[in-house]
Amino acid sequence: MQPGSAVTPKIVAAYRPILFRVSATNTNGGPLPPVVYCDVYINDLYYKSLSATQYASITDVASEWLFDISDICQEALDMDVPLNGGSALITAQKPILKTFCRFRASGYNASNFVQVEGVAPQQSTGTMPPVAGTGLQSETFMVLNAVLQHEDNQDLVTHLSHFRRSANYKPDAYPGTHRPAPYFIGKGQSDYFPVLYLGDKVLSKLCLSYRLKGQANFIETCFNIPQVCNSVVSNVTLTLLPGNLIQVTFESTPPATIFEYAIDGGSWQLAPGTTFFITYNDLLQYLITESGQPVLTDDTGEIIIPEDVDLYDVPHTIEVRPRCSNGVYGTSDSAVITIDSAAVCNPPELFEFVDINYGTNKINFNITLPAPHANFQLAWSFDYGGYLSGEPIQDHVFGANPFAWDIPPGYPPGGGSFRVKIRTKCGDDSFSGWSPELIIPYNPPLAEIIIEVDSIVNTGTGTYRVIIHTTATSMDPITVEGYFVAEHSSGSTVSFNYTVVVPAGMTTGTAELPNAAPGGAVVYGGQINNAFPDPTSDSKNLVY
Amino acid sequence: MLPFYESPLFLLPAGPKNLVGIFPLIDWNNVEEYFITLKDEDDLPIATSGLHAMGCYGEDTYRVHFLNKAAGCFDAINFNRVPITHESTSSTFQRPLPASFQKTDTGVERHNIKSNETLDALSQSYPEEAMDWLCELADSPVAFLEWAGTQGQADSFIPLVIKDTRIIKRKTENRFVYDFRLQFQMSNSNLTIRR
Repeated sequence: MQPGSAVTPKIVAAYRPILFRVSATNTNGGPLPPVVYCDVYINDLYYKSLSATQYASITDVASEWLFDISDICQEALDMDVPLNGGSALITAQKPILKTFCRFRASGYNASNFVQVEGVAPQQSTGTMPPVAGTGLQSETFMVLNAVLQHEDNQDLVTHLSHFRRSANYKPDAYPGTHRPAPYFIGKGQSDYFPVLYLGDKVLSKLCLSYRLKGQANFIETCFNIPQVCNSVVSNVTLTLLPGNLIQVTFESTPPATIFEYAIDGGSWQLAPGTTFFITYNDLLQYLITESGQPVLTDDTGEIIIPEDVDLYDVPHTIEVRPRCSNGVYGTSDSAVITIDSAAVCNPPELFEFVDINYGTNKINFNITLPAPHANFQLAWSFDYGGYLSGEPIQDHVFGANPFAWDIPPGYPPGGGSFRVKIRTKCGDDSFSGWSPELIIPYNPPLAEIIIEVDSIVNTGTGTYRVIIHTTATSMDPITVEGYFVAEHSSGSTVSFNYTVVVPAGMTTGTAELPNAAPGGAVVYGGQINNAFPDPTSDSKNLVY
Repeated sequence: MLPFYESPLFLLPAGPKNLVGIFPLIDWNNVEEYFITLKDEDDLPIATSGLHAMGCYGEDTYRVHFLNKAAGCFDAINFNRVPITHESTSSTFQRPLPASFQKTDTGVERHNIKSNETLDALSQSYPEEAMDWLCELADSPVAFLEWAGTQGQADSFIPLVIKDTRIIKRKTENRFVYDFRLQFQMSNSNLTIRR
C-alpha cells in the first residue's frame, strides 16, 4: 500500500497520515525481521528514516509493517513569501515536496547481532551532503502543505476540485486556495492566485478579463509568458574527492534559481545548489538505472555492478542546465570526468571472520580487495577485562582466501576479544577508509590437567619430592604453571609456586617441597587462567 | 512520471499591483471586477481565478496575508479603519538621592520597558459562506501585513502575530452581515532605549 490518489503524479496532503504498508521477511529466512527501516527521500535527497520493530500483521510467510511519514514531510515543508507587487509567475518550491521511500529489512549475523540489509543512507551534516542508500523503492509522489479536515474528501485533488470558482479548469488543474468569489481587493494591493497544475502543457499566457464600471461585458487582454530563459550555466567543474565523491560546481546568470543535471545524457535530476556532490553509490545507481537494470546488492549491501555498466576508466559527461520559473530551460554547460580505477582507493569489498586455529595460533579471514589492489593494512587491538591494548597497524599482502593472520605473541593473557579492521593500501600514502571492525572472541580451550600424585618421598631432611602426572590436551608444546599448596597435618599451610614444564610427549614432572614438616600433604595443581577452574588435586601421606 | 515542471504549484500574479506591470494600460480606477486565466500553448484555459471585486480601500486599509490550508500558499483579507493601540509595560526602581542634589536628579525610574502595537481589525465584507475560509486566517501560524515601504525602502511585508480569538461562524439572526474581528500584534516588538 502506498500513498496517493489515482492521479499521476500522486499528490497527498501533509496533514493527514501518509501511510506505507510493506511486506518484509527476515533476511535469514522466516517471516519476521527484527527491524524494518523506512528511509525517506525528499526532492531526491535522503532526509531521515523511520524504524519499526513491531509488525502490523504476520503470516507464516511474511510480516507487514506500517509507516506514517506525514510528520517528516511536515518538518521539511516551508512557505514561499512572494514579492509584494511582483509581476512574475512564480513556481512555488517550498510548500510542495517530491518524495519516495526506500525500505530495508533485517536479520541476524553469526554473532546474533541485528544486521540490516542493503546500504544504510547517511544524513547530511554541515559540511557533507546526504548519501543515498539502497532498499526497495516506493513510487514517487508529491506532498503538499495542505490540511484535510475530518469532513473533507480525503482525496486531496478531489477536495480542491470543489473549490474551482469557474468552469475554466483543465481536469488536472486545481486552485490552491479555498478563497470565495467574489474576493475583495483594492487598487494598489498585491495578491497571488495559487494553482496546482499536474499536466504537461506549457504555461503560455496570462489573461486578464475585466469589466469597467457601468459596463456589462468583460474585456480580455492577454500577456504572453516569455518562453525564454536567459540564464546561462558556465564553468562546470568536476573534482574527484576521496571516497569517490564527485564534487560539481558551476556558475550561472540570473534569473534561474533551479538547476538540473544529467549524466551521460540520461535522466535529469534536480541539482541541490551551485555546488553539489555525486557519491559513488549515486553514480552507480544512476548508471545502472539508466541502463534499464535493477539495482541489486550483495550480502554485504554493496551494489553489484552489472557487466555492461562501465564506471571506471571511461569518460562520464555531467551536464547542468538552468530552469526559469516559466519552466523554460536556459543554456547548459557540461564537463567530463574519468574515474581512474588505478587511482581510486576503494575500501575492501569483503572482510569477514572465518575461524580461529588455536593449534597454529592464527585467525582466518575472507578478504576481497577492490581490483587491482592486493596490499592492505590491518589494525588490531585486544579487549581484556575492559582494557584495550591499542591499535597497532600491520602491512600485509593479500594472496588467497582464507587469509591467516598470526595472533601476536603473548596473546591471549586470558580470555578476551580481538578487534580487527583492514583498509586497502593503494600507494605509499594512499589508503581507503577502514572496513567495519570485526570483534572476535578469543577463548582458547583450557588444557585439561590431571594431577596424580604417585608418591611423596622423603629424600632427606626437609626435602620432599612430589612426582606428579599431568595430561594436557591439544597444544604442543605447552607451559603449565602449577600452583601448589602444601598443607601440614597441623593445619598450617605453606604455599609455593612452581613452574612445571611439560615438554611435548612427556606426561610427568617433578616438584620439590623444601622444608615441609612431616605429615600429610595435599598437592593441588591447575593451569593459571583468568577462568581458573578448581584445581585438580591428590594427596599422599608423607613417607618417612 | 512527474510533470514537465518540477513543482506543479504556481503563484499567478493576481492583484492590481501585480498586474499593472503586465497590463500597464489598464485604468484600475475604473475597473469594477476582474478575473485572471492561465492558458496553454493552444490558447485553452488551464485555470481561472474567481471573481476579484474592486473595493474602496485606501490608506487606512490594512491588508493581511495569511497561510491558507488548501496548499500552504498565501491568501489575503482587507480590514478598514483599523484602530491601533500602543501598549507598553515596565518595572520601576528607586535611586537614592545624594545629600546635595540637583533638581533633575531622579528618585523613581522605570526600566525593562517593552512595547508593541495591537491592531483591532474588523472585516464585514464576506458572507456566512466564507466563514470557513476566514477562520483559516484565525488559525494561520503566520500572518503578514502588506506594507508600503517608507523612508525610501521597497514595499514588503511586516510579520504579525494573530492573537487567540473567538469567532461566531453562524448567527441565528442578522445573518447577512458578519463581523470578522481579529487582533494582531507586531511580531517584532518595539525596541526601547535606556538612559
